[in-house]
Amino acid sequence: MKVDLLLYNGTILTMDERSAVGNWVAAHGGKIIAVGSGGGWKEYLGSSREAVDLKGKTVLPGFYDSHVNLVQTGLNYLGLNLSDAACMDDLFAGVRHRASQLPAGQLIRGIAFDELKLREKRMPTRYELDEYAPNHPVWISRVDYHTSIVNTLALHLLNLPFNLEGIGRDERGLPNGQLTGRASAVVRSYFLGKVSDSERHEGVHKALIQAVENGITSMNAMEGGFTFHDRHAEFILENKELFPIDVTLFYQSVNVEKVISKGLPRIGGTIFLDGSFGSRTAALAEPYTDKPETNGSLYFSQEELNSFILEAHQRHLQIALHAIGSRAIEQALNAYEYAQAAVPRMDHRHRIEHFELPSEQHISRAKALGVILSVQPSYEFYWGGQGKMYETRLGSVRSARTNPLKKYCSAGITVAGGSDSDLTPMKPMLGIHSAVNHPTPEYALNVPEALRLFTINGARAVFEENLKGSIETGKTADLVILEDNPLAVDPSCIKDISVAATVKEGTLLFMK
Amino acid sequence: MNTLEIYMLGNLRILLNGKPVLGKMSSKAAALLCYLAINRNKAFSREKLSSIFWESAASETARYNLRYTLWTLRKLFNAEKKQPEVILTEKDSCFINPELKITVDALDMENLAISLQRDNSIEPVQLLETIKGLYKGDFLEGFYINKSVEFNDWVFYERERLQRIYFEALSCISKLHIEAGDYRGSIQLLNDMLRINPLQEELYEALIRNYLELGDRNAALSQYRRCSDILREELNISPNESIDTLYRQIKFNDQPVSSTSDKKVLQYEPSGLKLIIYSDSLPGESELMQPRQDILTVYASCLPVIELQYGCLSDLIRAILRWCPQHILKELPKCFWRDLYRIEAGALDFTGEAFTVDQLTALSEKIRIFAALERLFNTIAERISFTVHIQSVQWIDKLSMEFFRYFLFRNHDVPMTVVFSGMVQEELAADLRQHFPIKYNKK
Repeated sequence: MKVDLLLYNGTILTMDERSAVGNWVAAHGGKIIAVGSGGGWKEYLGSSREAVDLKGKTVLPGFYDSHVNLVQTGLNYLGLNLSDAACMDDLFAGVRHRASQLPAGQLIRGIAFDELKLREKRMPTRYELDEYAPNHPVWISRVDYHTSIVNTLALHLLNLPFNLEGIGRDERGLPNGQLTGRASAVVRSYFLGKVSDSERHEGVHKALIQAVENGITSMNAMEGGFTFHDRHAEFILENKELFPIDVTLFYQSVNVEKVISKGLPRIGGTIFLDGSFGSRTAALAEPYTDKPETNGSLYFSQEELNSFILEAHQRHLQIALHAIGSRAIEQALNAYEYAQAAVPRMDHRHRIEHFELPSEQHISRAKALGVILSVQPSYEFYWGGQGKMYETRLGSVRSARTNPLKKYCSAGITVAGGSDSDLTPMKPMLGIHSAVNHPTPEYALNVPEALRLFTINGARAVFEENLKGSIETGKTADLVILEDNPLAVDPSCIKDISVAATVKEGTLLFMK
Repeated sequence: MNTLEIYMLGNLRILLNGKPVLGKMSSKAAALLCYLAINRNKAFSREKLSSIFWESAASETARYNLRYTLWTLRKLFNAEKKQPEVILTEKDSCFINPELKITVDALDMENLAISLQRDNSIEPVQLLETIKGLYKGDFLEGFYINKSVEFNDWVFYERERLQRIYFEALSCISKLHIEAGDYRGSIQLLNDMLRINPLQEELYEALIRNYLELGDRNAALSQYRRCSDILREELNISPNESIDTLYRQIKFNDQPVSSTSDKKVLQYEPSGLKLIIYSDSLPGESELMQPRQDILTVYASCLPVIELQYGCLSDLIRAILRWCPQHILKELPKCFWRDLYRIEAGALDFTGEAFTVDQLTALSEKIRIFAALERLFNTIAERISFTVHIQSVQWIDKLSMEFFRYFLFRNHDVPMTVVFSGMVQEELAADLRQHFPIKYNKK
């Protein structure tokens, strides 16, 4: 029997309901046609178009990344990355270098700028930026996206109204190029709107190569709306069929009619009910440890949120909301409960993204509602544990309660894993590692649980569990080949397992 | 003599004797001309002008560039010889020829704004409209000179200053329109202001109030949605409390709330029976919507003779008999009409007999009347949109008031509206609230 691809002589972790393990898998016409243990592969060897001797390597279903800001990630690859700038001169050198590379008039987009990392501990003025890029508009976005710095040409293009809140001014009352709050949001929207589709193509192409090299064959792209731009979502919608891997769009809007008119079955993604711990805007029940005058913010009233959720729920959309702090989680659950009480739906699969600091009660309510939790285990890798950001912001007691992944799984909730790229890298192995090596040991997942987050649960989170997410006959032949078996290595080394190859619909997309 | 017109509000246009000449000059020359024209009463040293427009060049080169640019302008303006110079140059200074007939829209606009402030005799609407007409767009829109920090800063400064004058003018005309009752005129101006800053919430609030004054509830609600959509999309925030409160009043009262009178809704119920109390009188019956086949609004005016018991209810029944479709009235059983006949003779048409023969105590009679009127209200409310409006409620008689306490207490779920207006004292409002508690949680 002819097959397109045969992988044999390895360990096939199928992630099916029985957690079956095989040693070969065959694919044809984009589907898995056989999987087995023993010598059954031999009958395909002679007739396979491509046969790979795995030599003991491990095969898993192609990974899902359930939360990626894809266009933003791509644009960041193209932008001037200022995260390593240690002083003003570094910043200026970067701007000058970029100006020398780009034709006059083209936007220089600086990203990940953090003046607190600079020796001078200050932001540049527009005059300083003019000096290094007089013929290019310059827009530098602070790492938290809430502040922008522009040069004079950019300010001229923006033509901001005199009464817009957040325009920084010098002693003469003239705009100094530093823009916060509303003004920064306007700037962001303006310049992201000016990004050309060819730039988006270039950036997304780079991002997707990264994804494929890390074993990702399906991702959920959270696009559009506040902080991002609707054009990003439209771009994904127009081009997703051309992407090498499956990209499921979550359109970040509260405009139900608009989303339905585009034929989408889901809405939301990063619909911010609150902010983040990093910027101390996630809505906590108690004040922040390192800034007691605030406990974060809720961006919706419960009534507004209920109204939006009910409308989307009634229109049979799947909904995803961003909720990090306990007050935001409470609000999200309230809204879902409200909608379910008004119009009960059996299998809505509404999601809460992040769900970082819930109470015990929140977890039980999420389970009772049938809500899917879309989590980012690598947050704990970067920010969890002693002396890191969670502890600084939340104190030792609360930081020991963040991302209790084990509780979610033990409660029987479907938990999907993602990176939240551009915030953390699109590396499912790092996510799996982080879930297994959680800084709070009782919240750590075992390896099979962690693998499910990025495979079958990811599929379930977008109604695709019958198509993908496990290695079973008839399912799409999306596979990842790992150098080592995560079930066999020392758990502390999981992140070091490299991806040897990625297979999409039976085709080797990437091979080391 | 040459005439020169320079239009800097919006895209720059320079007309010499009515003909456009912008395409015949360099950007720096145009910038220099604009700068001198706006500052037409000032003389600038050559050194100053050189440093403004050629700041990165060495001083000698900058002075040469200035000289060259002035020369090209002189050539352009003196194409037909013997014309007076547009820019006069002396040994070390340059300035616009004060004798020249020159029009500068930005200066005209500013002068009008100054006249408005200083001269009370000027008709403000006409003057403000002229200011509005002059403002074709932002100051030197799209005009930018590379490597001329001082010039660009000057443009920013002037742009904001003139935009502020324009904005204030629009705001003033809008208020004058409202005072004159021209709400549509005001709406147009508010939309103009929103084109400058679409995130300014106060403007949406003003729009909502204008639409309410026009009685266009749907348009008012749509402005709220417009505001909430843009704030959500651009800033991920909700409308401010003031707009939100206004929105709730409109949404839940189903009644326009005038911003120019003291009418206020004191209490409301979002579903079933709505109770609305206005602390001032509403327009009279003739000014409000006349009854239609699907809507019935009946009015009873209380008179300053509070000893006349049932006076208000009698009035109300009379209005119902007059305006309510007969087929609905016929649905009320005769026994109830007989009880209503005790206080309103017009009910005779439905009783089938002229006299009541029973001997009731005053208390029993009251109970029968209340029950009959309650049944009548329910019958009408089941069929059509029904509003009962009691005017001059400060004079309501004791038994009529007692009926409304009884009715409100027992009929929360009846889909009708009861309106009280007049000089409503807090005690009366509190009394009504006590019998009609709000059943939902306000934010």
